[in-house]
Amino acid sequence: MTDHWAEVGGGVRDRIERVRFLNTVLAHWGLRLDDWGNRVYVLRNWKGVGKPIPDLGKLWVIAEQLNGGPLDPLDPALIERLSQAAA
Amino acid sequence: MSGLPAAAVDDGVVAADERIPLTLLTGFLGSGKTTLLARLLAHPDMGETAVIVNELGEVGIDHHLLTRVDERTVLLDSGCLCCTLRGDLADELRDLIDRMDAGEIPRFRRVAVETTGLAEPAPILFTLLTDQVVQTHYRLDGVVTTVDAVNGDDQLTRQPEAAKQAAVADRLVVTKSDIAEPGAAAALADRLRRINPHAAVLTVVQGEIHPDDLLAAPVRDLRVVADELAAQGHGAAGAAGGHRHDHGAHDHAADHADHAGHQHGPDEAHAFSIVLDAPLDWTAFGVWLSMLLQAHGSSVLRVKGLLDVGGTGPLLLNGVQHVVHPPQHLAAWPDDDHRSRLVVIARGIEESAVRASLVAFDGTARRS
Repeated sequence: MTDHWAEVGGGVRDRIERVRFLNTVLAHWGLRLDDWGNRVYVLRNWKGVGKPIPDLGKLWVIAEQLNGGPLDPLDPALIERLSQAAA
Repeated sequence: MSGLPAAAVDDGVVAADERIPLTLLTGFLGSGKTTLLARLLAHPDMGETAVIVNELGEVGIDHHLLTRVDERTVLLDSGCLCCTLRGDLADELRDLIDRMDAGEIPRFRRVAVETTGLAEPAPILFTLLTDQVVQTHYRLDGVVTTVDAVNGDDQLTRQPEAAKQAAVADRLVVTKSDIAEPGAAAALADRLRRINPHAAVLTVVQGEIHPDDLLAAPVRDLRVVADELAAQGHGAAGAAGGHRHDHGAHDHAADHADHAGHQHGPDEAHAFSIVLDAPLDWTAFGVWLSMLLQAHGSSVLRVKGLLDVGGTGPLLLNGVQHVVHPPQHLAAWPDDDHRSRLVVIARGIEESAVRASLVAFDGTARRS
């Protein structure tokens, strides 16, 4: 993923960390992001349907498509899930 | 986890920006934008300024005309270059550079762009911040928004674009105070400060203002704004890093209480702040904000932050709806207070949920 304000200049290590963190969040909706050789990112839903991801901005658009609805970071269930995981 | 935005860091020093400063002039229909522009164009200190307007005829500059360069470009006796927008703003800005380099128009050192009264500011800002050529030659210096004291209050309530235009402003200009009801201009200025406390609020009668006061007026200190909002009950220190600041330990009910002698409905655009004691995880923050703007971009009108992401200086963040400027890493903090401060202008969104979500994302990252 490149060309997004939150990703500019990050190295391989940052990319790996970002994908790992994203998967912690995406798991709430049954989604998973795969990093193929640090070059190609593919987002899959629980049915296994996958789509390539060009950057972080597009990730959420495509995630909405695969999820069949918006992914809300203010979802109380997500906040609860993350808070419990972090505790 | 960590993740400093490496490309934004230039050995801890931000190089001097020699690009041409560009000011966006916006404001609702009939808000006095054209009057302001007409006075501005004729001002003797507007030399070496290129102004892109919607319609030359509307501005009424015939008696200041010095030279007609071509059918859409004129040079005024003030030295101001004035041209009409044909269509695409990025094309126009590129074309100005080309014509200046070719010697077809005088050299200019500043640009002001007038938007139409119904313009959504975010797409225009997106163009300015994403077009490679425009980015090479211009830097967005600020947004000036006119709001008239007669109709502005009603427009802010009824017209979504009016609130967006106020939220994106760095300088808010209250116009028509001379023909408004007594006290209307002051009440409007107060409301504008609640919507956008970061902006400088200026009251201008009949467009009478020095160009520098309008185009180069400093915005308010973000840290002061964030702390004022916190003191008014529209902000709280968060629990990032497991630290909770004493004055932040209040519940959501308090957030909407009438701390500062005013109230607003849930759909009223207003500002609130999030203050965090411990350094933020940049990876988590980037994921969180990009996700928030995707899900709530129409509700989150503006995000501005001075963030501690673990570097020697703070990271300056500036976003308008879906559009986020490339974060800028500043060389040093102004003092020993390194708390991260985020000021959000939003409507129809729970302040407490935004805060809890950011803290949850950040806490998850730093424990993984």
